[in-house]
Amino acid sequence: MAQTSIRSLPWGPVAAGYEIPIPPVPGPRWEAGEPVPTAAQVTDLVAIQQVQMTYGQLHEHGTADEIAELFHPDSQLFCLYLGSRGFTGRVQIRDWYAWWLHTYATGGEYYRHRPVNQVIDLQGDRAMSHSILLAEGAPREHTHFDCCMGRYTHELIRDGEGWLFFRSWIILHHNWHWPQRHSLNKPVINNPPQYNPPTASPL
Amino acid sequence: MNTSSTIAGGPTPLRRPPFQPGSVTVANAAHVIAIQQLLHRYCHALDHDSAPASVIANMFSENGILCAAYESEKFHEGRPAIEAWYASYLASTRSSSRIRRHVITTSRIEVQNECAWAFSYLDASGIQLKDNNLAFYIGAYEDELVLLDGQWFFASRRITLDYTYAPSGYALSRNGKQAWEGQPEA
Repeated sequence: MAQTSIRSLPWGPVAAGYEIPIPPVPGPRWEAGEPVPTAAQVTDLVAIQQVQMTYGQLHEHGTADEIAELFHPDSQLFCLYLGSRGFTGRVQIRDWYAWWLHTYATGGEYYRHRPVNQVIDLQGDRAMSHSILLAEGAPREHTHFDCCMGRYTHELIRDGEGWLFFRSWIILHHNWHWPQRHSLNKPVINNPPQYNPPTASPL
Repeated sequence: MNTSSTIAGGPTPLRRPPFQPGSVTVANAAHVIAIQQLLHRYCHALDHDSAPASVIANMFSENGILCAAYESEKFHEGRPAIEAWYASYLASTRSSSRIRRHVITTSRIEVQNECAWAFSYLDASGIQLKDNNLAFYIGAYEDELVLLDGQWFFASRRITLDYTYAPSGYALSRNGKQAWEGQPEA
């Protein structure tokens, strides 16, 4: 069965990313027992959970501009499957997701991004969020159903009443196929998002 | 295991509380979130390539109980016994697999004062070193939890595995060929 791996996708110039230093991926804090959060911390934890759930669903329902709005203007995004390259600032991040949405919306009928097992460590106006990435989708050809597993590590920053991604590491570990025979109860996406050229210069 | 004991009369099934509409209040929402964090943090520690067994054992109360029911109905009581079990488990699983991921979903959590009960679906996966294939183990965690000095701990955890499968068309990505903890993966 032919594989559609992340490495075989037709990367555009934006998708190649930019050469930037990739900081080590932080790990979760280990706790002996889990402290009960204060009311203020509950608000922060739920708000951060929702930022990440929104981010996941925008891959299917959203636009590149909406995704970029979840990132701080000075944020950095490290897609570690691209190599030592990443994106700095909302403009580059928006361009990356514009390419991504265009590529996937035209190449598949269905896809979901599910951050699960989310652990959030609050530190004042900063927070670290660690979760497992589950993503899946079906190409138009109905040849298979692709699934992918990896990790999300986000550093978030408080922004007014809410939270934004400040540094994000996305790691893909492996992908696999569900059984070849599957049925899809979802209409084909007939109007995939338009792909607007990058507004920032690639390398 | 030498450090384990079996409760006289055999294992006692954990008590599954009835669903109580309206049981989640503003007051106990913080407890539900803390317990969610504990359930997830356990998985991250288990999946880490170098986290010691003591990290996991310390998530249990001093007299906590662990039952890996897929292995046997033996109860491992107290942190030393639990740490010994996880040390053995981690040594075995780390030498036979990699990129282990314990994914839990659909966690139902009932808080009653300083005790709580949780049930979560488990989809554990890993790449087996013997054949380099991806394998899934599907089961559940059933937990009793206790609040001690403002922190939630596992009072008991029962792990069941119901079935396993190996998906087709599996491939490692660039990151999957490298370790992830604390190091740049690119």
